[in-house]
Amino acid sequence: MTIADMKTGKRARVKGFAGGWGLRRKVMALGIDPGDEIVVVVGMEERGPFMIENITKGTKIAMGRGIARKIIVEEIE
Amino acid sequence: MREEKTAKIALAGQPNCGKSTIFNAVAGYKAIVSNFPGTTVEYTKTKIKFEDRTIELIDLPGTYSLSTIDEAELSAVKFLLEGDFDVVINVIDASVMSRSLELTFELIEYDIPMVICLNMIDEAEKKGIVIDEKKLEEKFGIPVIKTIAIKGKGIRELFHSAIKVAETKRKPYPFRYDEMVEREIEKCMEKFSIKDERGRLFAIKILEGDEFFKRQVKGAEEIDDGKLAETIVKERHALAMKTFEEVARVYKGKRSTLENRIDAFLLTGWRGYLFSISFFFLVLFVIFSFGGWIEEIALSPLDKILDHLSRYKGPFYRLIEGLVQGIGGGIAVVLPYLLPLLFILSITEDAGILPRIAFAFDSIMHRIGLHGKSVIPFVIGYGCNVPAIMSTKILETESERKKVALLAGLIPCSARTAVILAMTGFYGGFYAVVIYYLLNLLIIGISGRLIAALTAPAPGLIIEIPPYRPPYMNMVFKKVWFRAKDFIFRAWPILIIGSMFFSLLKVFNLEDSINSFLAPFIKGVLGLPPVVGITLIFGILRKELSMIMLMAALGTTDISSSMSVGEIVRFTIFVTFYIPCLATIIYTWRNFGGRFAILAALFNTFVATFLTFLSRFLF
Repeated sequence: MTIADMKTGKRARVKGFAGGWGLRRKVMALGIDPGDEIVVVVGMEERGPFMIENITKGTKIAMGRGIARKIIVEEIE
Repeated sequence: MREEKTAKIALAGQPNCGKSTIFNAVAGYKAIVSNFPGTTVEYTKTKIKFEDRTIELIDLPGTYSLSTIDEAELSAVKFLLEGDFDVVINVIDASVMSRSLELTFELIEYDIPMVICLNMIDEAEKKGIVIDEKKLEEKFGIPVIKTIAIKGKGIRELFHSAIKVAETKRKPYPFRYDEMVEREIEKCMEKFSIKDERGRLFAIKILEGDEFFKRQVKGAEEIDDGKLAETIVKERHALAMKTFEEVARVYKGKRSTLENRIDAFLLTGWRGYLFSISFFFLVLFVIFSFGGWIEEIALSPLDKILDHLSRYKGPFYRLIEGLVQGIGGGIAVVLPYLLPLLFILSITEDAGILPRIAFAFDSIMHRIGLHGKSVIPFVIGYGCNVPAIMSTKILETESERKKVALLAGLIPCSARTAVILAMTGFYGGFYAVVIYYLLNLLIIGISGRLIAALTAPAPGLIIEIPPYRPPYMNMVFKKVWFRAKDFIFRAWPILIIGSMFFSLLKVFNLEDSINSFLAPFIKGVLGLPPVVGITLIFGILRKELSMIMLMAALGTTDISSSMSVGEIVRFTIFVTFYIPCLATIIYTWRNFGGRFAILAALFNTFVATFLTFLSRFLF
């Protein structure tokens, strides 16, 4: 699954990226790495961007749906 | 005589690291000369007096890395390659240090005198991050200074240290990649015989696949090893994380979820729009209620002078009239609108509200090929187009900035609102005004769609959301002044000269000839009485002048007695959309260059003509 499939308040661990190198570089530059634990702060089902908190790094990132669809995660119960 | 000591110091760092806070902390103080971001220089420069020497301080654009894909990054890279500096201060947000160190490693590859500034250590400590700066110094071989720039802590030590490094030219220790990569770097240097001091840097960048560097070296274009490029970037990434683990300790503090709950409450779905729109409403309410009032007070003495001058004849008095008119035009922008808008913008920026509004508006803005951040200039445009153009700086790419500048120019600013209220409101009532504003938004939407269809879409939104925090007023005031200065000293004088030029038209009695010259257009295309011609020319100075002069030309304040409803509607439409006011044009010119300023003016005038012509069939 990807961040775009997650609901507000759910936690997950970053597994990898689905996009090309350009996207990966952008996401990595903002400090999102495989292994990081994240939580969805604001996420909407139909459309709209996502806001996540990177718990491991202590940062908060907002991203458009297009980018959220390319970050592969695994939900943590 | 003792020779004056100087030092050129550049600030480099990632976005939100507090770089500009450091710049403002020292630049606002005893600034001698200032240079502002324009079309050729993308970075901000200022000369300051620090103790017994003059420092030229350069604020490079905030960049996450030094790949040249991004325009901001390219301008930073070019600056570093030109080498016109003595030392670079690498500003690091200590609370996100592991990520920030990646840029540090990239800077080290440039092999330049450096100092590291660990900023926002208070924020880092709140997160439970404790950094051993001595260990970091040993590792990199350059001074590391801890600061809290927003409170001015550590700034003096930072600059002492930077000046020392500027003299001793102390450079950081070079670092090595793993053996495989190192072999490739050597091979690359050999192959293109780049063995001078820049050789290693160029080899690494060529292998990374950086187009800008590839173009500099003959034959390097053919190098294209995606796997190796990835390895290099990933290794720097890993080095940054490893270094962080070596020099910092993280104590798991309590993670506060209150802010997340607030964000979820305010920004989910329609609540995001509600939150943003009420915020905009508040801002505009403050601007319009105070702005109009301040404008009246500030302009009333000038109006008296103008009234007095109108009794005299002769070129001299007309020139003075132009001068006063120009000064008034500036005052009408700066005092009531520019300063309050910049003030509110700075506060919301520092308080973390601005990026959240960008988030809320992301999906709507996507429909016109932009992303969330671009909503800000639009809203500011309702107050005044000048700070709206100024605020396009928050957008990443030049093409986005231009698109937004073009569209924001169609937003009726307070001066145009005065015309709309006086004409549509007075003769058509409240609902006519509301409908007029909605139609305006519709037209901006359609233009946006058209422009989006013709240009590349903005890259997807990905921004950091800073925590909510109370702004430091001291910093806010410095920021406001720093931004307003640009308008006051650069654009205002041109406005005054332009205004004096217009008064010459009166001196030589060119009004009638201009009216008859414009008549085919005014009467034929727009369907307005020819007497309107000259008022539209003067409206370029300040939009509300059109209406005031129209009343003067018609000899009555009751325009409906000499113009039909259709003519009043067409006049309002044309005044709202045609050529931006002179201050906006000048400012657009300063930011995007002459060609774009002319294009923007033509675009506005085209939209205005088209709509006015169209409305001839409705009324």
